[in-house]
Amino acid sequence: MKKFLLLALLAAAPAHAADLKGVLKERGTRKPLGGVNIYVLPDKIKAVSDPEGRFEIKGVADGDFQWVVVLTGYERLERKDSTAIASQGEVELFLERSTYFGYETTVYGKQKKRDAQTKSLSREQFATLPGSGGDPVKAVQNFAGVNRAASFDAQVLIQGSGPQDTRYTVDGHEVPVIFHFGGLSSVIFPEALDRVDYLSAGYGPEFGRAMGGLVGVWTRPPQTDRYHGLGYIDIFNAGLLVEGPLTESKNHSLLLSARKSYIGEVLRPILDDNDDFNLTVAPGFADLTGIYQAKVTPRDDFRVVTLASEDTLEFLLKQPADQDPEFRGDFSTRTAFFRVIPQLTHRHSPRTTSRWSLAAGKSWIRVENEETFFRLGVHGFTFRGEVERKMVERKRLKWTMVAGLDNSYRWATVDLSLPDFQDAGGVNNPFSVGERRQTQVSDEYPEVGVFMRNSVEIGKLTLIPNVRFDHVGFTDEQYVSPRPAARYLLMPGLELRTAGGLYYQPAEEWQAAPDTGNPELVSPRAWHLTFGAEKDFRETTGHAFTLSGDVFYKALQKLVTSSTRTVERGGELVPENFQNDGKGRVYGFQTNVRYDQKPWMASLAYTIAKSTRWSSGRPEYPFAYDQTHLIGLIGSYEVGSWKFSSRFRYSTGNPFTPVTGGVFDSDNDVYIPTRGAFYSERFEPFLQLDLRIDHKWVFDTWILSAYLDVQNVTNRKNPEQVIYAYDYSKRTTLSGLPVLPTFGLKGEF
Amino acid sequence: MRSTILALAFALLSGCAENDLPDYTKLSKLRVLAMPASAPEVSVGATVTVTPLVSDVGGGGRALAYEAVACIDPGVGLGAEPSCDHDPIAQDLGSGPVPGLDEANSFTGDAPALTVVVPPTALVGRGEADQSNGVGYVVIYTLTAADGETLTTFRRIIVSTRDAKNSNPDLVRILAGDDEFTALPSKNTELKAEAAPGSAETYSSITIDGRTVTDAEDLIFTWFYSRGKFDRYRTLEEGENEYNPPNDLQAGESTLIVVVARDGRGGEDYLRFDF
Repeated sequence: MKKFLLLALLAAAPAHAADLKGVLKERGTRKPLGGVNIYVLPDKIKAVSDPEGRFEIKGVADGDFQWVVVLTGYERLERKDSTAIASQGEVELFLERSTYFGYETTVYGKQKKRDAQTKSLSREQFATLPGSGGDPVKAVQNFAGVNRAASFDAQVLIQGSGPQDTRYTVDGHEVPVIFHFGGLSSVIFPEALDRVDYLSAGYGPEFGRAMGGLVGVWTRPPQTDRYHGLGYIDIFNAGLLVEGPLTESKNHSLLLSARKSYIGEVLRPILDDNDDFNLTVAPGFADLTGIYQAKVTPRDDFRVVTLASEDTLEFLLKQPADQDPEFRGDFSTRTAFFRVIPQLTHRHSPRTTSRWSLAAGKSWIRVENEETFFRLGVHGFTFRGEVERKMVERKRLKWTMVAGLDNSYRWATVDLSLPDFQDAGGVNNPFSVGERRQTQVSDEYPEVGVFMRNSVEIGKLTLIPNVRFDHVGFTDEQYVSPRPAARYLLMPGLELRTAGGLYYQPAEEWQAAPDTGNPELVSPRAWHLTFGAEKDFRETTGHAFTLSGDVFYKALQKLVTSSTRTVERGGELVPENFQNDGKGRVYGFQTNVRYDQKPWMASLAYTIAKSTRWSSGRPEYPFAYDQTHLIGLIGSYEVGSWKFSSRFRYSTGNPFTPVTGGVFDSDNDVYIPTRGAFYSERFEPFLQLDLRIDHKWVFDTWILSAYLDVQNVTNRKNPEQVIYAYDYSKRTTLSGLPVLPTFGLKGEF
Repeated sequence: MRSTILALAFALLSGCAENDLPDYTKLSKLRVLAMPASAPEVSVGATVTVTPLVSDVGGGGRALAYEAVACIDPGVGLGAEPSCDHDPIAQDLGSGPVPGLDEANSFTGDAPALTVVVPPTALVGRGEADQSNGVGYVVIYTLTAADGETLTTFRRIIVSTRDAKNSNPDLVRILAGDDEFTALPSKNTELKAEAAPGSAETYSSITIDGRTVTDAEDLIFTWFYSRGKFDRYRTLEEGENEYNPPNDLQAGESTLIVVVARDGRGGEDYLRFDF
C-alpha cells in the first residue's frame, strides 16, 4: 500500500520540480533537531532530518508551497515558501519549544544519588525554582530543614546546627565562602553548574569535618554541539558566559564566564551625602569561572576548573562611631579566593571507575579598621580520589564499593590585632573593652580523610555500611567515624530509610593556636540519627505528587565555648580563651510535599525542630538559631511565554539573650552589657512573600528574557537584631530587608 | 572570626538605623561621666586618687550614696563581669553620701575622692609581656539614689613595670572657631577641643608572640550637654562638633556642657561649662 501511494505521488509530480536543502533547528537556541519528519505541502513530500538537523527534499513542484513540521514538545511549524526562493540556498527552519523556562536542557545523565541524605537540584531545577532568582545555593534554602542565618548573612543553617557547621564545596573541594557579600549571589556562575547538593543529618563518608552538613556545587562540562553564549544585566550585577567546542572532533571544549557587581556605584551617591561617612571603595564582587574539558581517550575524561572570586568594601568613618569609639577611621574588608581544580575520570572497566581531583589555590580574608585587623592568607591543596567498583551484580544481590581519600594540606598565615571579643549569649561586649591581642602566626595544617562506602542491595533492602577515618594535623587527633545507613523499598514508589553516624569538625585554627586560643582543644563532634520515608506517587498513581518525611536527632559534644578563666600554661598565668565544655542536642521532623504538573508547580517544606546547648555551670538553653517552625511554600504557573512564581517563608523568630542593664567602663566610655538568661526571649516570627514574573521573547537565533523580582512584597519589617540604648535601659530592633524590587534582562543563544 | 565581623556590621548598621533611643551625651539621668585618676598607670605599691565626675541632672538634687571597692582585674577585657568577688584581698574604698552636686543647679560635679593603694602582689605570676604592658587594678564604684536607682562604674589603674608610664591628657580649652568658648552661643556653633601638646603619647607594648610594637594614642573627646544638642557624641583631635544651643532657655535656667578627653589607656581629663 505504501509503495502504491509513493508511485502515485511520483506519477503526480509535475515536469518542473525543485530540489530543496535545509536544516531544522530549535528556535532561539539553534540546536539541530535530528530524526524529525519535515513535510512539504501540497506535494505531500516528506524528509527526515539527520543528526545535524539537515534534510533534503527532491521533486517539489515549482511555485508556492508550505513547510509543516510537527514534534512533541514543540509548537507546530507551518511556513509558506516558494521554490524560487527556497532553492537558492539552504533553508533554515526553526521549531519553537512549547516552553523555554529554564536554560536549554542538556541531559548529562541522571545523577544516581548514593544516599537518601543527599538532596540534589539539577541546573534546570534550581534555575527555575521560584524565590531563588536562579541561584543554586539560594534554591537549597527552599528545602525542608534549611534556612538562612539572617537576611544579610550569607550562611546556610542545616537542621538546627550553627552556620559554622556547614561546609561549602565546589566539585568536592572546600571553598571559604559560597555566597558573595550579603548573600546576594553565590560565587560561581549558575549556568556553569550541573547541580547543587545538600547533605543533611546522616550524610555519607565521602565528606567530613562538618557537624551540620554540606552544600556542594558541581560544575558541568562545556557543551560541544556548537558555540553558546549568555549575558545578563540587572540592578546589582552583570555577567557573561561563552562555551563551545575547541576542535572539530569536539573532544576538547571550553566554558568561560565572568560576573561583576555594581551595587556600590548605586549606593555611593546616596552615602556620600553623609558628613561622617565616606565610601572609598564601594561594596562589590566579581567572579570568574573557566572549565576546560577533554576526552583524552574513550576511557578518560579530563577537566580543569578554574574559579576566582572577590568581595571588597572600604569606607571611612571620619569620627568615632556613636555605639563604640573603637570604630573609627578607615574600614576595609576583602574576601577572595581562587582554585584550579584538575580532575580525571578513568573507566578501568565497565565495573570499575576511578575519579581523581586536586584543588590548588589561595584564599584571602582581610578585615581592617585602623589598629584592629585580621589578615588571613591560606595557600593549600586539597586532594580527592575514589575508586568505585561494582563487586557483585546479580539479580538478587548487588554490591558496590567506593574507597577514597579526602585530604588537604594548607599553609596559613594569620596577622591579627583584635580586641578579645566576647559574645556570650550572642550579646557582644563593645570592642573598646576587649583586651587587644596581637600576633602573627604561620603554620601548616595537614588533614587526612580516608573513607569507604559499601552499598549492598539484597532485594528490596539496601544496606550501606560506611566508615571514615580522619587525622587532624594541627591538633594531632585521629578519629574513626562509623556512618551506616539502610533503605527498604516497602512498595513501588515508597521507600523507608535510615542513616546515622559520627561527625567530627576540627576547631578553628585560631581557636587552637597557642597565642589566641587553647592548644589543648580537641575537635567537637556530633552523633546523627535519622529515619524517614519518601513516597513518589508518580510511579504508582500518575498523580504529580511526591511526599517525604524524616525525623532527625543530633547529639553535640565537646563544643568549643569561650572562657574567661586564667590558667597556668608553661609556668605562666595566661587566658584560657576557649574550652571544650559545650554540649547540645537537636531533634525534629521535616517534610516536603511537591506537586509538579505543568503548567503548575507547588512545593511545601515544613520543619519542626528544637535545638539546645548547655555547658558546665550553664543549664540547657535554646540555641541561637533554634527555629521551631520553618515553612517554605513555593509555587509557579506558566502560560505561554510568561511565568509567574512566588515564595512564602515563615520561621519562628530566633531566640536572643536579653540585656538587663549595663556597667559603665570609664576608661573606654562605653557600657558593658549585663546579660539575662541565655536566649530566653525571641524575635517576632520571620515572614516574607516574594513574587517574580518572567517573560521570554524567542527569536530564531537567540532568546531574550526579562524578569521582575520583588522580595518582601508586603514590606514586612522582620526584626533581625536588638539594638540597645547606650546604657541598655531601652531597646528596639533592627529590621531586615525592606521591599526590594529587581529588574533584569538576559540574552542567550 | 565570623561573629566578630558580624558584630562589627551590626554595630555599624545599628548606627545607621533610625530609632528613638536616648542620646548618649544628653545629660538627664544618673551618670558617671568620668573617673579621672591622679595617675592612670603606676608601679606596684603606688597610691592613686580617683575622683568620679557624677551627674544627676534629672534627679533634682536627690540624695546619692556610693560604695567602692578595688581588686585585680578579673579579666573584664576577656569577658568577665566587673566584680571583686573573686579577689580575697579586694580593697574596700569606703562608702557614704555624695554631696555637692547642686553646683549651678546642674546637679553635676566631683564626688568624694577615692584613695587606692595598689597591692605589691599585683603582678605576681604574670608573664613578662603582662608585667611590661600592665595589669589592670579595677576600681568599682556603685552609686545608689534615694529611690533605689543604681549605677555601677569601673575604671582600671594600670600596674606595670615599664619606665615610661602613661599620663593623663591635658584638655586645655574649647574653641569656637578661632575664639575660646566661654559663653553660650546664640546660634549653631562649631566647637573643637584642644589638648596640650604631648597629650597624645607614643607608647610601646609587647605582643603575645613576644614582639615589641610602638603605637600612638588617639585622643577622643566626648561632648555632654544638658540643653541644646551636639551633632556628634565624640570627636577626634581636629574634629569639630556643631552645638545647637537651646532656643527656649528661660530666665533662671542653666545649660551645662562637659567635654571629657580620653587617651584610650585610662588617661582622662575634662572641662565643664555652666551657662
